Amino acid sequence: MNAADITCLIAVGVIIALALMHCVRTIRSGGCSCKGCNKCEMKNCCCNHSKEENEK
Amino acid sequence: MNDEIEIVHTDTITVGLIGNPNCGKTTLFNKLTGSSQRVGNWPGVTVERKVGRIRSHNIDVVDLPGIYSLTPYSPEEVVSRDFLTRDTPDVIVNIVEASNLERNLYLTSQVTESGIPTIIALNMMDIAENRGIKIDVQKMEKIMGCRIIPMSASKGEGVDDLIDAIKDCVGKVPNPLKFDDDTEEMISRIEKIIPDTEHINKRWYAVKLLENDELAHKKFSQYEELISSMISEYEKKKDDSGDAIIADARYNAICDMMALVRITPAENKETITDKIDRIVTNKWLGIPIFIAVMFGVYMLAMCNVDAFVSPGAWATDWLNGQLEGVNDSVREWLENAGVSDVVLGLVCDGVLKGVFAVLGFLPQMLVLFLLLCLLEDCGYMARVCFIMDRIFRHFNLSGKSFIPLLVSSGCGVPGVLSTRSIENDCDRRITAMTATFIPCSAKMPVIALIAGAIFGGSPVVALFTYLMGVLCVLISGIILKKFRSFKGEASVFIMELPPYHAPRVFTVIKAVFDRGWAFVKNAGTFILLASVLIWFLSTFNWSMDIVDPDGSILADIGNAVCWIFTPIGWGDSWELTVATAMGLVAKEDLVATFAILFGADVDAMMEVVIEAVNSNLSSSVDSILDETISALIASGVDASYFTEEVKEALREGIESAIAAGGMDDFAEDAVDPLYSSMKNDALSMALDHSSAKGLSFLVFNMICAPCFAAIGAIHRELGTWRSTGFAILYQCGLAYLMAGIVYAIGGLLFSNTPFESWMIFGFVFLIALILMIVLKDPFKHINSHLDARDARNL
Repeated sequence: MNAADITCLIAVGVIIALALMHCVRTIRSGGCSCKGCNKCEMKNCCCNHSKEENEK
Repeated sequence: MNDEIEIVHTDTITVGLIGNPNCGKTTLFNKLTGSSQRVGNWPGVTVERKVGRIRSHNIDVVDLPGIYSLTPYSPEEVVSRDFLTRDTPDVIVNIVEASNLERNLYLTSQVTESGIPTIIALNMMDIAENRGIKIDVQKMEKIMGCRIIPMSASKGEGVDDLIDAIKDCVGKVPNPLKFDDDTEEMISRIEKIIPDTEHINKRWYAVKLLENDELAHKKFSQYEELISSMISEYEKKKDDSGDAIIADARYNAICDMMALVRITPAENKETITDKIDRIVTNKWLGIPIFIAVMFGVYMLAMCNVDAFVSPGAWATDWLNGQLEGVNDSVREWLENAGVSDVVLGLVCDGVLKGVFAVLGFLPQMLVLFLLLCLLEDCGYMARVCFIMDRIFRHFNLSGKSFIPLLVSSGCGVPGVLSTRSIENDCDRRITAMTATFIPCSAKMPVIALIAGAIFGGSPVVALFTYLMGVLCVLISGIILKKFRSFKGEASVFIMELPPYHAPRVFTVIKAVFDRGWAFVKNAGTFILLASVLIWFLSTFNWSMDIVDPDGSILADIGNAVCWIFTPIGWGDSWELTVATAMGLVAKEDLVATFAILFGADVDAMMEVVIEAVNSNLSSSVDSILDETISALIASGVDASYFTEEVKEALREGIESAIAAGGMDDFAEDAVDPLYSSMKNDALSMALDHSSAKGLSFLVFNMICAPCFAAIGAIHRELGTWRSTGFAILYQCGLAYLMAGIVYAIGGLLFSNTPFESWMIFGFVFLIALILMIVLKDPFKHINSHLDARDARNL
């Protein structure tokens, strides 16, 4: 395994980790990736979730 | 204004938006807060409260679901009433539709009784004026004791006046509508009995007690005997029930007020909306028009036949070409950088191939979303609910169940959530279990792929899948209602049809962007992870050696379970089984899985072509063509695949190769037509080029358990994992039955599907399904078992 392989694997690993975090959050919140922090004032919420709903 | 009361509040003003369904609350919410919540031209878009902020004025705005009264019959009404009685906002903005004032003021009369400072937003004034309705706003303000702001939320007219009025209104209590003397006397007698309440006027509770409101009676249970005897006496005197007496008194008070404030009534002439509705909601024409409209939508988005290539299909082909180019460039770049074959495979054959296979369908999805959003926003889809009510009623459901199906055509998750607008709990749970039968945006690439591989890109396949989804919902309405826990009459469907209007550009663009972005985000997350997993499992065997897909871990797993699908036609292909399982992660994963698994087959076929051409370069074109075809057939390609069209494409490729002096790995452009035909063909071969098997595979994957995210939403709506488990089991069971039936009937209809003994299962499934529909109590053993269990628990 050379340096190019290691660089490539690290890049793919980081992307996979980020995607995994998103997927876990989405499934746990019942389909919406919104964290329910309401900082975006609902502008970025795709599923019309309220803060209370996500905190449940 | 009425007497002012002192309210202790912080610097932030909390405002609740309340009003009838589809009166423009969410549109106003978005205008006030700059948010972009989903708005729709049908009732029930908002199912739970949402909070936004007018930052420049320090005002918090709460958007509440649309309701007709504050007597909680449905979950939405509970949300709105709880907000008023428990959270007690500083100001209520009651949005009323100016052209339907009498009906909208019914809710207003209840809101003003609460004693919470209220502003009436007279929305859709432009439509009212077009209909010749004029209202004396100042006189109405005097009677109601609160500010009334004429406005048009969709055009942003009157929004600034409303914000100013909110700031001035805090602490100012409106006048409740006065009823007839007898009723007023009765209300004041009850008021004297009940103690002071924290936030809400005593009058509000007194009226609620007289209406026999269950929650109000519970709240004052210590006075129940005295209050009930007074109410019974009054009901006897009026010869009517308490709630009917109050409803009557409210409408009388509203009519009296309207006689004073309405300058000119609505002109009673037939509008354009009436004329269009006479045709599109016609008893006989409604359904054929709806089917024709949906066919047109799928035609424009997905059609890819010789006679007509739709804009969506054309753009998809173009984007696929570009993405393949990107993959080739990345591969070349990584090779030059010295990356090893395994890592190269992970990046190019795993991550990129899977993600790009799904992303390639984005143009088709955008065209589809655009057309559906146009239909929703102009008001046509609300008519479809009305048309569908006639059919749904015969299947124990109501037209209200069709609204979640409409939402599900975008994504199953909000579709399942929107079942909350259904009052009847049994109907609500049945709809939550079946809303995902309608093809969502994630299923569309799968439909397009199968349509392209087996049916020459015909849009009829998409229409068939949509109608199959509706059929399964209807069948479920009958079957599920025979289970003890779903028994009950369908709820009555009351829906106000909004007037047609030209689609609003911003709303449509926003909706298309939201759905498109969700599609892209899914490709970059769920699909990416699943693609890596599929690549890993299809590249290595149990000893972690690199092998062909047929000897991989994935093939072993697929081969172990694929027999399950033999009775429905496609149990001999482990690839199809694995793709179906991956569909649970996200339905687009079927496409990504095929791209990775069948991509390897195509690459192998390409190697055969290159070798055959290069080793016969000195021969004539015809001879090379014959050699190439023979080599491909020897490698497993079906002889029937070599049609005149494919041969011609191959001949052109060979001529180009001769001119270039031979083929190498990067001379694939020379045989592009063959390459793309072969790509589709790999899937077609897995389905034995059989239309019946193709449809069976499609039907199973459309109806069976949805993706994990939608399963999570179903769990939230059904409440327990036991019910969710039953829902998944039911969905998969029905999908299996329907796929078997489609396979058997398809075997009779399609000439490219020979009769197989397994098809007998399909006819057995058909008889079983008919029995479940026709028999009065087919699940009596299950129901009696549940009854016995309950009796034991008691």
